[in-house]
Amino acid sequence: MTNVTSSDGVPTGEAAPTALVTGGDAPRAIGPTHEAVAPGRVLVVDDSRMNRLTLLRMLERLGHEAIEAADGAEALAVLASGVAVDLVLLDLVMPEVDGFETLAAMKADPRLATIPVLMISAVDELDGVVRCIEMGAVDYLPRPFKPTLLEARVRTSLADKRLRDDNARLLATVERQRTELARFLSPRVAQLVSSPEGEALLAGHRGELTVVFADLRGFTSFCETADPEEIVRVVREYHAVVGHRVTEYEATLEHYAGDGVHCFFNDPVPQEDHRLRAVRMTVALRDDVLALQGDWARRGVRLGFGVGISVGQATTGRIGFEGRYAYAALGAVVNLAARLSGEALPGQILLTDELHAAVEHHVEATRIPDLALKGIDHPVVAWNVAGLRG
Amino acid sequence: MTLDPTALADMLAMVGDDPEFVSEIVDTYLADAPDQLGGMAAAAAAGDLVTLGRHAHTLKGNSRNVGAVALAEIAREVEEASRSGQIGDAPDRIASAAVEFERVRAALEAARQTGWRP
Repeated sequence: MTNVTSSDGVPTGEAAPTALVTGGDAPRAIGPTHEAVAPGRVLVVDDSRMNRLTLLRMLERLGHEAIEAADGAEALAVLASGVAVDLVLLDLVMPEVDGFETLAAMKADPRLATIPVLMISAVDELDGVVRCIEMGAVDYLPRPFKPTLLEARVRTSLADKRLRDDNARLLATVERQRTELARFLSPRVAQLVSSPEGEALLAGHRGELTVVFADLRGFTSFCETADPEEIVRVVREYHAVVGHRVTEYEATLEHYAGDGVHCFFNDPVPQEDHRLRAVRMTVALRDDVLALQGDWARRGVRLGFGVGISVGQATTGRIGFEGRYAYAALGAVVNLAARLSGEALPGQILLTDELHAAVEHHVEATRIPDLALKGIDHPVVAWNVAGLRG
Repeated sequence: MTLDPTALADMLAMVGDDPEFVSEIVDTYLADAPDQLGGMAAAAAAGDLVTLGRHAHTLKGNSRNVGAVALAEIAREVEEASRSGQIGDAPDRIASAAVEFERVRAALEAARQTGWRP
């Protein structure tokens, strides 16, 4: 004889399951020895007092907590009261609300539909049992009850339930993380992180990117002089239009703080038109900010909007340290876009010569005087976008 | 057969060789069966086939659990007849069920003396 011991299963109710299986009167394992099943709370639904009593005692002997209901209506009331139940043993023939109706009501309620149901039936009721299994009952227990069969069916049902509960919890966690990620990361990166290919892409890879830097001219001095409420309001208005365009043009947002916006195209999802797409987004954004500037001017706020865009090879991937990672791009192309943005006058969208050559049929642009940029030992050719063609 | 002794032996094993618990189950049976028989008789007299079938069903199941096979068989016949819409000879069968129940009661009391072991 072996004692039934509580395993490390996840307790699903507020009961202390171990209390049922400890002490001098420890229950004995009945039938073939096998791994003990973690105790669960079982609802026994049967209009026969004798059947309920028998099942309750047998279940308690197996280390489970058993509660009872005399008919379907009572069972549904117990379940509706919020008592956590791991398994229902359900009699078929009962007055008022019978086994079929009870099962149907449980399956129709999303909170109860996942609780496994074992039908209790006499051998001459098999037709009804088949119908119940079609309706979603997991199995049946023939009467008179056989202890080994009861133990095996209860164990299997509880194990399945736990697996399902674990899966549901896991799914909920993944879903929550995805939602949280979407809140903190760009939607594209959030999606990437949650995808099966995520780990490989995050590990780092090299490819051609179009990199955009944009910010508000005069923002620093505005922050020094304006009311905090006004600063927050302006930043919110600005971020709202930026967020809208970044999403609309499917840019990968790397950084989004204060007045600065840093994003790139063609990664993690390839975009054949990444060069022109970047220019289109910034032109649309410039129009948005222009509309905002009218309102800002009436409130005494004077802020300009400048953009730098470059195209070239960069390495993208997870950069940072444990607990704080970013999906980022590294390379000369990134620095170049940042420097161009720094040189842009209010209202200017500056492109590198290479980018301009790639988009010139679609873009009205004028060449500005060559720039001497920090860290670059030759004059840099740059073009200012006046607008889009066509 | 009035009482199949293996049913009680099974039940004894089932509840962890606890004769007191078998006594509790048997007492429940003995207390409830007269209600089921009375309910059957009343329903048959009133022509209420649904209630008749339900009481017969419960008596059948409970009787099988304690090994009262003959009584379970009578209850099964009444249940089937009521399901097929026939009162028929139900009153006679119910009367013979009541007689059989007294035999079951005596047999169970005898079995109790041996601690429910055959």
